[in-house]
Amino acid sequence: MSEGILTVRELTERLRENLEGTFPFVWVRGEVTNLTRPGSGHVYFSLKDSDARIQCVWFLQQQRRRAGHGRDFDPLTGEVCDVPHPSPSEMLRNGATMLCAGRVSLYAARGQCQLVVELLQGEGRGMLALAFEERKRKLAELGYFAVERKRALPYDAGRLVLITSATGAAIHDFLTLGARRGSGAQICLFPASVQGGAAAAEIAEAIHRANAQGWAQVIVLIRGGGSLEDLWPFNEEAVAEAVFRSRIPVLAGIGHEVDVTLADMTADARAATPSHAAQLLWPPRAELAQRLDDARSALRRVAADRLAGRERSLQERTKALRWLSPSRFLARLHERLERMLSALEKIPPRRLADAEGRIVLTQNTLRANLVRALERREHALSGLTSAVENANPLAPLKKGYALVSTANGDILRSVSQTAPGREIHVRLDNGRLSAIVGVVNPE
Amino acid sequence: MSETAEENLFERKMTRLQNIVDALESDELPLEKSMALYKEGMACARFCKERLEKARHELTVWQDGEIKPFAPREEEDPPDPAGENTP
Repeated sequence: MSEGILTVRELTERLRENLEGTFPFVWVRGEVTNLTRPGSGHVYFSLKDSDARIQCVWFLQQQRRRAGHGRDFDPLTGEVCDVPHPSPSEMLRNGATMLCAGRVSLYAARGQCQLVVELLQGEGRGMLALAFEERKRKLAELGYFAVERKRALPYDAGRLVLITSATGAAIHDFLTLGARRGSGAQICLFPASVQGGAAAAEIAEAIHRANAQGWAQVIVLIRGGGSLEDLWPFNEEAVAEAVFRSRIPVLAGIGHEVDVTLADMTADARAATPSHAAQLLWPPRAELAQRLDDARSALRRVAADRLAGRERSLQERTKALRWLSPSRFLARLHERLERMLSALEKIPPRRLADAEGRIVLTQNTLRANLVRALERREHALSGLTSAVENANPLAPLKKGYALVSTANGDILRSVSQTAPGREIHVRLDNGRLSAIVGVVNPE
Repeated sequence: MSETAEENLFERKMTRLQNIVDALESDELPLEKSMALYKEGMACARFCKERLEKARHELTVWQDGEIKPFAPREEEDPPDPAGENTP
């Protein structure tokens, strides 16, 4: 030891240089204990194992640098998250297992070896995040998250199966908000653990049973906020698969806004929280009441319009009927007659006289024509009469001829028809006589 | 779980009401038919109004293989040790 005696300061300085040179950046996993957050903003704690312990300090600058980074990223996987996860500062509590990265140094004031923390994260997170990413990729390839297979939720859902813990904050929030919405639904709770080892199987089983019963219009899967570990059952493949296979649309509302689980991503609709799920399921009752009021007013208006239309048409027809009634018809005829009469009265008297003269003239002509026609007929008649007279076989008797017949009435046209001594009858103009033939002289 | 005829009655009656309004608006229906539709529409509206006024979600639980009524546990008030505020 040629260097001689060191001051305490010199020793601690040498140790510090040594430590920092040997452990410039290490990852340490341990359980947090003795956590203090004094007003300075620096955070002090110890990480311990079953039988070892190391003092840690997380300086304010380191916390700020991380907070000021703007986007959350996982220093293990390098994954950049658009939605912030709970900050390590929030996760840091006594008893929590944390993963810390930093340099080992020496706190000279106490001669104490300590870890100056630069990065800090929940122990499980890195592993779970990796598992989550791996599973997400796989399910995406299977089409679990495809937008085109998302089904619409029923409007104002009436029958739903609610899958959650019977005692959690989730069901309380969901029912409290739901109480002022919708027109009255039937909700059947399928109780299931929502954290712990049995949760995934219970949730998947509840989804299968709801499908087997087929009663519900929608399955609602909710859980209150929690750590990534708490929500882990909703990232299990069994749950995602049950959601994927469900014939009934599934609405998932798991954790807080920032939490997205594989069940959320597979579900037909995703609510940010259990309360939000109630909002997505049911319209506010006031909105339903307004819709109802609108419909009722429309009904009144359209019915009144229809009635008014009928009344108008009835009035028009009544009017038309009155116009066509027999008394109206007679009245109209009477009116027409009156009009014609008064028109007649207005005709000048001379025209009447002329008309009268024409009538007399026509009468005379008619009479003369009649007389002439009668005379013509009389003349024709007498001509015909004399012609008939001439044709009479008895007419020659007037001129002295006689008509001779035998005793049996045959006209005697030949002397051979008789003989002397035979009786003959002679008809003269003014009488008949009978004679006996004396001599027959044929010529 | 009720009969299927009972489910979504509000929405079904609302739809019927809207259909009646549409029918009255578009078709030249006989007066008797119009009045019957109007009466039916008003009955639908009355039903929906009452239903809204009395609207409550009915809660059951599937337990031990059967449906049972369910009342969510209300958050209990903190105990009042002295009982002084109890009327």
